[in-house]
Amino acid sequence: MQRWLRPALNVTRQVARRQWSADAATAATEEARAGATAGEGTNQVTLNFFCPHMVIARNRSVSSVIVPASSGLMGILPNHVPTVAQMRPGVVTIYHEDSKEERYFVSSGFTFVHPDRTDICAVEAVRLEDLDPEEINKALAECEAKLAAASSSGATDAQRAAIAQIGVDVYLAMQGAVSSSR
Amino acid sequence: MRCAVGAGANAVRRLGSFSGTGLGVEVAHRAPVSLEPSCRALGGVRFASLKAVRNRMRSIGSIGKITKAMKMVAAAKLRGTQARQDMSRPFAASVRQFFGMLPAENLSADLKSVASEHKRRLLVVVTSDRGLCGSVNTNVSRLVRHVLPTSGTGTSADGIENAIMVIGDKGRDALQRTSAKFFTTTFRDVFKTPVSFPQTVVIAEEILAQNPDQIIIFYNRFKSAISQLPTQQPLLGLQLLMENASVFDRYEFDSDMDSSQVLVDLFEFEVATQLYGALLENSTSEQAARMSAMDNASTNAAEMLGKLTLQYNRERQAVITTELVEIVAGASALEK
Repeated sequence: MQRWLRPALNVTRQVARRQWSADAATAATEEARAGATAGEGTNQVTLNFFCPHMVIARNRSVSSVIVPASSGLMGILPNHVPTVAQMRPGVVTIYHEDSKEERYFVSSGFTFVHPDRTDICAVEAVRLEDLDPEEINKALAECEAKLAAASSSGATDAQRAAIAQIGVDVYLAMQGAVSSSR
Repeated sequence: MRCAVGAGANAVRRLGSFSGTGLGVEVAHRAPVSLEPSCRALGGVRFASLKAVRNRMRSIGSIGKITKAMKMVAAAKLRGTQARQDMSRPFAASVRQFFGMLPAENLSADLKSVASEHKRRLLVVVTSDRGLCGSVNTNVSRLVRHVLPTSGTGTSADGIENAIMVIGDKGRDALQRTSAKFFTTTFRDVFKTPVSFPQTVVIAEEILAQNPDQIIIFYNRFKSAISQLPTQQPLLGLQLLMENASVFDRYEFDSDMDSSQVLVDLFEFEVATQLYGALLENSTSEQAARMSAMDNASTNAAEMLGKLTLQYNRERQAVITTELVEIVAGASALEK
């Protein structure tokens, strides 16, 4: 084996091992599901929380999750009906077993509630604590100004108005989330 | 004499032109073959031959340095992209898993059965912008050519109209010669910065704007640092997805709009995530392939340099010996 390859191969092996263990974990949840359908019933939600550039949770057992579905907040408890929910800008709250909670702001995405697990695929997710209220206010004002400018100049700017409207929606949701958490 | 210098210079020029095209691996394999006869022919003309060998040694040495540096750069980049890919693989995988419920084997049959209705298939080819990365780009374009019809018209035998969207310069160059008529859009400089989701969405929108009935994404799946797998991933177009929506009946669609609108959004989300996964896989594969290609090139250059050094020293020694013999012979002739 060439010497230069070793570090890269090591990384690959680690990755492979991790993937393997992930597969094993999936198999484990599969077994758990088999157990659940047999009537035992689990009291935990297996949560996967992904966004494009990071993994927030993988195969983590939590007691419940609340996601901002487009029709309203949706609480996911164990043995939830299989659902596909589109998310709107809002807060995902994860309740751990030790009654601690974790809150993330998500911009949009989808939540898949499978019989054996729950996958949250968000386009962007940040911890609520990491949001800066002043920056939010500033960005909100900016988007509102853009929206006003675009909508006053007529129908030609419909696309720009729509983009500004999205910005306003997201920042308003963000503002609400931050102010309610303090 | 002139002829001999010419031959030596020719050998040097050939090597130079190889380095220009950048086929590092080939340089090392081919060059010694071209060198041997020219040197043998130069047997009597010592100085010109030595100079030619010296020049070659110098150029091979610098090529070796360049390929070694490129290998280092690729290795460093690989570490970055691999870490990023590791973080984002589950994202694409979980969406893919959901759509995996669609009966994949029925897809092509479905396409065929409705062939009379004039179906459109979009081939999204993900390749790198820069070369010197082994065969990753060639493998992908070969895969694409297999799918494309060989006849002159844009429709293949089963009546599906094909279109190609190429991401990356190398794929465009490779496919332009044979299949330029299928091209709709080409993207370049996608891999200039690390692959990001917003950037992917721009490309995905372009795909959706064409409203194809089937999308096939071609890319290199990253298996390990020494193995990359050319892959094609078919996605169902929106219309066929709607027709097959019954497989999702197990799931409730939660929305304030009607559930078909959710399916449209979900489809768009799927295209973006799968494309994002493909882009990341391909950029990781590219760096890995470049790293091993450049390592081979450096090894070959070093080996070749060793051979040439041996040859050079032998020849120099021969020159010195001959001169000594001449002097001794001359001296002994004078003594008599």
